[in-house]
Amino acid sequence: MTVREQTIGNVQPRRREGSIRGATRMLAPRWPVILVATVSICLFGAAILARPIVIQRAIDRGLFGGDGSELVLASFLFVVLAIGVYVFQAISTYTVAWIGQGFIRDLRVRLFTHMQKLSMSFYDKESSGRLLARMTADMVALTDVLNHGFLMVIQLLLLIFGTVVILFILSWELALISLIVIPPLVIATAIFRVYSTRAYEAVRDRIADVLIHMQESFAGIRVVQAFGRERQNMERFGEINEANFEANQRTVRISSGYVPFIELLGGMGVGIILYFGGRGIFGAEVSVGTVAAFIFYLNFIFQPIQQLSQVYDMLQSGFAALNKVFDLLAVEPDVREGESTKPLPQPVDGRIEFEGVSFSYAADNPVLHDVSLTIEPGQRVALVGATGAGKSTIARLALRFYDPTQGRVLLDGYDLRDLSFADLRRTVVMVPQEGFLFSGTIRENILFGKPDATDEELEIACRSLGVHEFIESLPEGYETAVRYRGSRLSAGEKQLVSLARAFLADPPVLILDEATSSVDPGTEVLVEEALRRVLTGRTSVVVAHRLSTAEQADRVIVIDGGRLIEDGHHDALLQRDGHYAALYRTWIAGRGERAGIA
Amino acid sequence: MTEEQLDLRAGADLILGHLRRQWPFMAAALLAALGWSVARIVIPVLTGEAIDRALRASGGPDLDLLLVFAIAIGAMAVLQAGSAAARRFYAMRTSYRIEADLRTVLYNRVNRLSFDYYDRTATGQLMSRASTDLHEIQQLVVMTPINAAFLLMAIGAFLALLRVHVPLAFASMLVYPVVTLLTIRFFNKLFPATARVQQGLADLTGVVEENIAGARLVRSFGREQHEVDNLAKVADEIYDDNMEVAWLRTVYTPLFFLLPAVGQLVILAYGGWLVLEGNLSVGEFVAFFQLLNMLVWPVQGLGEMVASGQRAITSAARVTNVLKEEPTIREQPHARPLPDGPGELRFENVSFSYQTDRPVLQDFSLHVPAGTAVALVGPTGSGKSTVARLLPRFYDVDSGSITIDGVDIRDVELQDLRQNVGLVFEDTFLFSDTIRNNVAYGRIDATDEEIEWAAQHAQATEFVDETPAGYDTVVGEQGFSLSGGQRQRIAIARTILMQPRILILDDATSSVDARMEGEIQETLRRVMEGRTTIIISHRLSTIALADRVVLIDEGRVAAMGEHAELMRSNPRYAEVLGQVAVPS
Repeated sequence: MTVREQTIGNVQPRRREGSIRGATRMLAPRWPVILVATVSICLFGAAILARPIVIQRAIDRGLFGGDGSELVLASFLFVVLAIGVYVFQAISTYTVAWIGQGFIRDLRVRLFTHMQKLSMSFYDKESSGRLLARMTADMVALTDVLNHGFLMVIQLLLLIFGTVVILFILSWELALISLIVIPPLVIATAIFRVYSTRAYEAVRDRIADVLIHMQESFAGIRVVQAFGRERQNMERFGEINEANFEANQRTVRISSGYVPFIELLGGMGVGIILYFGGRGIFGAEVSVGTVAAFIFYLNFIFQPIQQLSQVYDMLQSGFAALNKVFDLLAVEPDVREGESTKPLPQPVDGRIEFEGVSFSYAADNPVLHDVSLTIEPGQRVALVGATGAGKSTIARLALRFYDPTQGRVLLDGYDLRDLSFADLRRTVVMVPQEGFLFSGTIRENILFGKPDATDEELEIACRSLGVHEFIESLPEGYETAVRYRGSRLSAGEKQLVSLARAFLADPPVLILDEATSSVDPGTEVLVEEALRRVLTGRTSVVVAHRLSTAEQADRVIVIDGGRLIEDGHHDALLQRDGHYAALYRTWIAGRGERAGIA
Repeated sequence: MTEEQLDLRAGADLILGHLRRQWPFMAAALLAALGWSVARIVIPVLTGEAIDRALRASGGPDLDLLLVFAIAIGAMAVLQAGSAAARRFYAMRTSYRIEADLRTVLYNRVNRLSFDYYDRTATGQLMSRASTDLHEIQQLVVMTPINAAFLLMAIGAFLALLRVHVPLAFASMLVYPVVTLLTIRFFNKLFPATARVQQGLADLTGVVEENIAGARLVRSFGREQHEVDNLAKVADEIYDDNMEVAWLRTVYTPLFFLLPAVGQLVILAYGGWLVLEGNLSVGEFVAFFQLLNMLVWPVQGLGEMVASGQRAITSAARVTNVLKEEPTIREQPHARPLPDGPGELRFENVSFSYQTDRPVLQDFSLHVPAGTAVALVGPTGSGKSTVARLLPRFYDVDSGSITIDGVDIRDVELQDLRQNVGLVFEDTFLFSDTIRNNVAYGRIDATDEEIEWAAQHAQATEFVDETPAGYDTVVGEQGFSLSGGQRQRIAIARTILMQPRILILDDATSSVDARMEGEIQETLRRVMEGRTTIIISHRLSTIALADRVVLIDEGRVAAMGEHAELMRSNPRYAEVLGQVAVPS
């Protein structure tokens, strides 16, 4: 089983706007330009098609008729047509690109805006790779269709049908006999398409193997060398690389068969036209000019038919992409802002209540059972429990990342579902476990919490949190650029920035997911101090992974199997000698062992 | 970032060298191309002759002669088809062969290089050498025979035209050099513009990727609009770059239609006049049209080839830059396997620096008796991890020496040295492969029993059994996602399986959570038994596994002894450990 084939989360769209209709609706406002493009494409095709007629006229009337004025007229028409081809081709190229690129740009923004509205339950199910593909690969496929596909289809069809019509007008007898080469051309092209599609799919898989192997060998080269795997890897790569070469070879063999066959048909076509044109056919006389025009026009059919098969593939993947994009657009968020929201009275107290809350991520697997709980304003609460007990779920429900399956979550007495997103998010803010940073400067990352804060506000916040010195010590201070996910900073440093971000936002309620992994000792002290200051003076819920955090909380809530089993101050819970006390003793024992060596 | 120095001559030599190696196939492709171009020129010539001699023969069309011409044209069509098949086959085969060969050479070279190279080279850069740059070279090679054929055809067509009528030939061909020059210009402008579009798409991917990964944060801070604005900015840039490409196409593509039409106009007007004057036959007139049409592709192809050649040579120059890198760590000619021994380790007056002006280790000496464990403790940048990296010869010391059981590690076969020095990294890199193959990474021939034994010792069996396909579950970037602690345990199993004489644990327990830590300690204790071990850690519980602790500060041994003793006597030691004095 390759992982690439694993299916992840089938999201059922509830009401799907037809993708063609949706696309049409987006294109509609551009109708004047679309009209210009269509007209110029048609005129372009007409001008191209008219050229051989002019030449034929020049041959038959001018050269054979010995009429110099016909020749002058033909030359004049030829110039007009050449200019027409130039102008209409230029106009259609530019207008089509303008329509297509504008459409893609709008669709990108629309899709991304839609993604911002989708709920966490959606992100849990959908892999990020797939969502990325909607915004990148699918859009590129659509761009291809809009920029080249449509233009080519219209031009090619115009050329083919126009040519056939002209041939029949010139001499239907010769047209019938010379078009004999078309059916084999079409059949050969269709067969070729089937085989080449398969062969190119294989090439795509093999080249992916090559690139993945290279990527991993290079990224993990230190491991490769530490374990002395260079020789085996080279052998393995040789095989993978050779398999890719073989897959390429297959496409070579297929196209080496097809393309010459087409050329053969073309040559045959010339012979047939010449012979039957000269002999006369069905008793009809054919002029030399007509024969010349036929030979000329044959190319107009041959190349377009081959190109159409390429465009067909392009259109297919374009429509597939369009469908996928509109499927995503049709997904409705589970968590929605209510129709009529109630304003949250200011100032906010920060009281959080859970009333008989039950919740499950998947229908058959409940995570919380009938949890009721009131967190008073200003209280510092630690949630304690084993992995999977449901403590993170409680935190997420308080942020309204999900809505409870049963019961209510209240903020200052208001059901979260009755509040506007704006009010809710100003009030309840989270600090993520791993100190997630966006690429950009440290300043931008901290301002994420309050975009309109002044430099003074920013510095005051960082100073009072005790992180100012640390930031100033970085190579470029607040302007230090952190790369994607903050890879230039250590885990502890990322947490510091993350805390500063929440502190600047200054929400009445803070939800904090404590980091599991340890941070370097140098920053650990800083992090703990900053954390203490961030939590002061507001309601806070900490998903605790270390019992030292619980020790310092106003109140400890112990969760087990989705139920609240113990609730009280650390000391009180120890006295009760229940679940928490047992947990604490194990932890102390572990710590004691460590202390023992000191 | 410094601009990469490109030696274009070396790049051209690289391509030529590989072409030479494939010469029989290249020669076959060229020969076939020649046959193809002959056929393509002869067909219109025959057509013209057929019109003049058979159709317009005095006394009505000569049907017998016409049949002869028709058959001759058919025969030429067969020749054209056959040679086109051979040309395509050999040209494409050669190009893919060269691409595959270069990729292997590149891969093997990178595998042989040393850590100093990886330190200054990004993976993405190497990947772009192996994909984009090699693709450019492949494109040039595949185009070469057809363009050579085109060139021959163009020359042939021109000669044919000259034979018919010299002034008309020159007059009608006048615009073609312009087409070639314009094509070169077009591609040279198009290429940077499309590269900008690609860069824009890469930026867009970054924005979307971050947005998805940070979705919770975006929601929590209500920053959706800000994210949309960000994306719209990138989408606008892509739009602008795409429109620039569209503008280039708008200006140039119609020109490629217009200019050949100028040639046709010359034939029509000037040639037509010549026919009327009786200086040119109608058949010759038609043949002129056909021959001229044939030149449209060659002159464009020539321009395209020049532009492609320029890019390919630049690409090849970038590839040679990788190929000419030499490994800095090399095996001595007289290197031998590490002789059997208990694993006594000695650093003697070792100095080392990554960059010449910033010494990391200075006159560092340390003796680790066989079978004992020493913990290295020191602030960030003190050089403690460097000590671990010198032992498997990831880098060579600048001066001094490192010996294992009295043998200088530079006298030992590299492969054997690294089999004997087992490392558990801080950063656990797993490959997109099965758990089994990841564990067996250092010993490809390990039996299932041995693999399970290693997994058991690393406490990995429990969660391995819970994965979808057990030991056959694919993990790594492309596969089933494991937690940091789980990855760590697989990494430990991978090292244990090699049964190394010397073990290095470089922050090996940093991402194991508190619950697992105790169990891992027990594991490590067992694994370390009988092995000389170097531990690098801040965790007291991990340090406790060592017999001795060495405090490293500014590249030197600052203190040495037992942990408790150092805690008492050395304030710097306690400070480095972040003052983890636990109330007892």
